[in-house]
Amino acid sequence: MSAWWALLAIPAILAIHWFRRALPRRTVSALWLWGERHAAPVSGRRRERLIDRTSLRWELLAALALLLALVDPRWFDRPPARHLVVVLDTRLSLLARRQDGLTVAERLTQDLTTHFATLAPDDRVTVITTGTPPRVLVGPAVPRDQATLGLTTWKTDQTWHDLAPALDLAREVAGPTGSVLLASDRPDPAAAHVGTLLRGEVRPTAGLIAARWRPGDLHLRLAAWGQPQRRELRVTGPAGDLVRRTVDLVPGHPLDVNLPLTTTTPIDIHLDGPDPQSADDHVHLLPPQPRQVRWWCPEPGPLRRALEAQDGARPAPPAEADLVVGPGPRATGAWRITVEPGDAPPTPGPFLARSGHPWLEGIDATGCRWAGGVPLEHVPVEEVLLAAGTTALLREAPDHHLIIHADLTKGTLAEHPAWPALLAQVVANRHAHLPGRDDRNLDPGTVVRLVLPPGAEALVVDDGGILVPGADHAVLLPVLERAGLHTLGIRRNGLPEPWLTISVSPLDARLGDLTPCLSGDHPAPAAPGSTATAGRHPLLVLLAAGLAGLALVASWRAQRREDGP
Amino acid sequence: MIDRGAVQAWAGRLKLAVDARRRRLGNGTRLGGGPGASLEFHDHRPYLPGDDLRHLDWGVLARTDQLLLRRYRIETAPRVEVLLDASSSLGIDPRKNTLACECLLLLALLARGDGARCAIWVATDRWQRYEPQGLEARLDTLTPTGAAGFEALPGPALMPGAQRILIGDGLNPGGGPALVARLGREAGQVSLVQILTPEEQDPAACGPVILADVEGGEQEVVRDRTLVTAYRERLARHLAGWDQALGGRGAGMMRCSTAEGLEGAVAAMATAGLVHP
Repeated sequence: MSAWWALLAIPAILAIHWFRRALPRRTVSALWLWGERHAAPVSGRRRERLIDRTSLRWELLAALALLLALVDPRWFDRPPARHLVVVLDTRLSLLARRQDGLTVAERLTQDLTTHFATLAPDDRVTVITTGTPPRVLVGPAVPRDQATLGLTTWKTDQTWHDLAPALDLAREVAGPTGSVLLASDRPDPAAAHVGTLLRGEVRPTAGLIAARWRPGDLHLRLAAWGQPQRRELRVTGPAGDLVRRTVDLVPGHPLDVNLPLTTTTPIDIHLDGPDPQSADDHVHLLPPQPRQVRWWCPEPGPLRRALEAQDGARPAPPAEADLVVGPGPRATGAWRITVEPGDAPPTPGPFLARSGHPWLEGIDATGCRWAGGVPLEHVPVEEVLLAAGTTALLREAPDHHLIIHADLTKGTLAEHPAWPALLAQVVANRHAHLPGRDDRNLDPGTVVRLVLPPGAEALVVDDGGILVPGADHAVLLPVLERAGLHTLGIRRNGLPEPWLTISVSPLDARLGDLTPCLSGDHPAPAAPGSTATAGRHPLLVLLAAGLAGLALVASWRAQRREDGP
Repeated sequence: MIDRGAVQAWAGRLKLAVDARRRRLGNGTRLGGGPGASLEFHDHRPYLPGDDLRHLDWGVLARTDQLLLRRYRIETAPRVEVLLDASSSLGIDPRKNTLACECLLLLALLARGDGARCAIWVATDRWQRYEPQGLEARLDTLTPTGAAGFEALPGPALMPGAQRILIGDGLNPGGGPALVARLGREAGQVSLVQILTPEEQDPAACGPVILADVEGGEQEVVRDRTLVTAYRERLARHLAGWDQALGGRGAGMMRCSTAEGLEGAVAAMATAGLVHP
C-alpha cells in the first residue's frame, strides 16, 4: 500500500513545470480537434497553463512506471470488468402464470437477481426495456446491486410490439466487448445472436382477441389455445351485468360473438374462468361517439335530396353548419358547395378526373350527359378536378370550396349514380376533418390522425407529450403502447383543457397464445477480452522498473535540450 | 448582413427535393407510417362487422373464402424542420454566420414554396423557434452566443417523419453519429449543411501559440506541420463519422466554405440532391 505514495511524484513534477509564459493567442472553433492536452475552461483561470514539454512527459512516464513496479502485483491477476446489457420484455404476455404459481415476469426477476449475484463486483450492468422507443431502465453501466434494485421497477404493461429496436440499442450500448441477454417468455428471431433467459411455459389458455363497439352493436372475437375450454363471457356496465353467456371455445376456430348493446356508458368485458394468461380476459371499452356532419342547404332540389340521403349527416343552421351549400355566410372552417352552371354545350364525356383526389375516389361519370360546364380557359386550371375535353365540370377553390359547373335541370347528372356518390365522398371527407374521433377504442399499434377542436394550439398526451397541429389543424398521434385509458388534453390560449379520453386495447392474438413459449437458458456469447488475463509475471515488474529508469534518463536529456541555448 | 437579393434569386430558381412519397396529394397530404386513409396499401387485417365493405379484399375472398380488409397508409402534410447551430463558433468569422443565415433563409423560402410546413429552430444558449414571418429581420440581428449548440442542449419539440436539415459547422466533440441519433430520431430524412471557414478546413502552421476556443477552453501548443497534419487527420475522421451517420438518410453532408459564399453552398446542396432546379 505504501507504494501508492509514489503517486505524490506526479503533482510534484507538475508543480516544477508550472511556468508562466506568454504566447500569441489564436481563436479557434474546435479546440478538441487540436488534441486534448491541457484543455481547460477559460472562466476562473488565473494562471498560465503548463507548457507541453517533452521533459514533462518523460518525467510523468517515469513516475507512472515506478508506481507500476511498486504497487501490489495482485492487481494484474484480476479479470477485466464485464458489461452485461439485459433486455427486459415489457409485453403483457409475461403476466402469464407458470405451473409454479409465479408469473413469467416474477420468475425472470428471481433468476436475474440470482444471475446478477454471480457477477464480479466491478462488472457493470445496463437494463433496457423493450418498446417503441426502447428505454434504459437502469444504467448505463451500473454496479450489480443497483441493477438488482432497478428490476423492481420493471413493468409488463405494454401491448404487443417488436423487440428488435431494444435489441439493437442493447448491442450498441454493449459495444464490441459487452454481452446482451434477453429476458422473455419465448424465443425471438431478432435475438438470434444474443443470450436469452426464457421462462415461458406452454399452457392451455383462452382469451379475447378483438373487441369492436359500433353504435348499437358489440362484436367480440374469442379464441382458445391448447385444449377446448368452456368459459363465461360477461359484459358489465356501471349498473351491473349487461350480458352473461357461456361460450365453448375450440383451438384453431376463433368464435365471433355479436351482441346488441344500447348503453352509452363505458363497459368492461370479462372472460371468466381459470386461465394462466389473464391479461387478455378483460378489456375496458369506451362508448362510440358518432360525429355527424351538419349541413345547410337553403334550396330544395337534387343537391339537398342527395345530402338528406347521407348517413352521418344532418341539417343544421348556417352558423353551426360544417358544410354550407350556396354563397351564404359560413362558420370558420366550414366547407362550401356551390352550383355554378356555365354555357358549355352538354357533353357525354369522356371524363378526365384528377388522380388520387379524395373527393373523387370511386366516382365514375361514364354514361352521364353533363350540362352546364365552363370552358377551361375561364377557370384556374390548377383548381379543376373533373373535365371533359375543354370543359371544366368540377373545381376545388381555396378553403375547401367545391364548385359544381352543372345545370342540374338539364342533362342526366342528377339521375346518375355518380351524383350521390360525389356528395357522399364530400361528406365522408368532411367527416374525416371533424374534431375528435367516433371510435375511442384503439387497437394496439395504431397510428391515429386527430383533428383538434377550433382554437386548440396543441394536443397534450397524458399530461406529458405535446403535439403541435399542422396546417390542417390535425396531429398524428403516435402509437400508445401502454394498454388502458389515456387522457388527451388541448391547450387553448395557453391554458390546458381536458378534451378526449381514449382506451388502448391490449388484445392481440399473439398475447394469449402461449404455444411458442419456452423455458431455457442460452448464455450470451463470450465477448473478446472478457476472459481473465494471465497471472503476474516477475518479468513485468522488472520491465516497469527498467522503463522508469529509461524515462528518467530521457527526461534528463530532454531537459538539457530545452534549457540549452 | 444577409444578401436578400441573392437568396430571393436562388429561391426563385430552385425547388426543395422532398421525398416523392411525401409530396402533397390533392388537398395537401403525405404518406405516414401507420394505417389510415390513402391510396397506398399498408396491410391486411381480418374483417370485423361494421368495417367498410369497400375495403374488403374481394380477390382474397374469392380465392380463400377469408374475409380480409385492405388497410391503407395514413396521409399527413409534409414537414420540413431546419435547425441552426448558432453557438459562438458560428460567430468566429462574420462570413460564417452570414452564410449560415442565408442557407437557412433559402431553405425556409424553398419549403414555403413547396407548400410544406416549415419549422425553424435556432440553438444559441437555448433553443428558439423562429416563425417564418419576419424571419429575415430576426436573422439580420442574430448574434451567435453560448457554448451549448446542438450537442449540449436537450432536443427541441421535433415532429416524427419530418425532413430535418441541420445547419452549422458540425464541429461537435461528440461526433456526428451521436448527434444524428439524437436530432435525427424519427426524422423522415436528416442532412447537414456544414459551414466552415478556410482556416477551419486547412489551417496553417504558425509556431507556438495559445489556441483559445471561442466556446471556452484554451491550450498552448506548437502549431507546427506535425500538429497541423494531426488536426487534418482528426477533422477527416470527424467528417467521415458525419458521412457515415447521415448515409442513407437523405442528402447527407453538404460541405460549404465561406470562401465560396452562397453560390458554393447552393452548388453543394444541388450536388447532394437537397435542392434541384
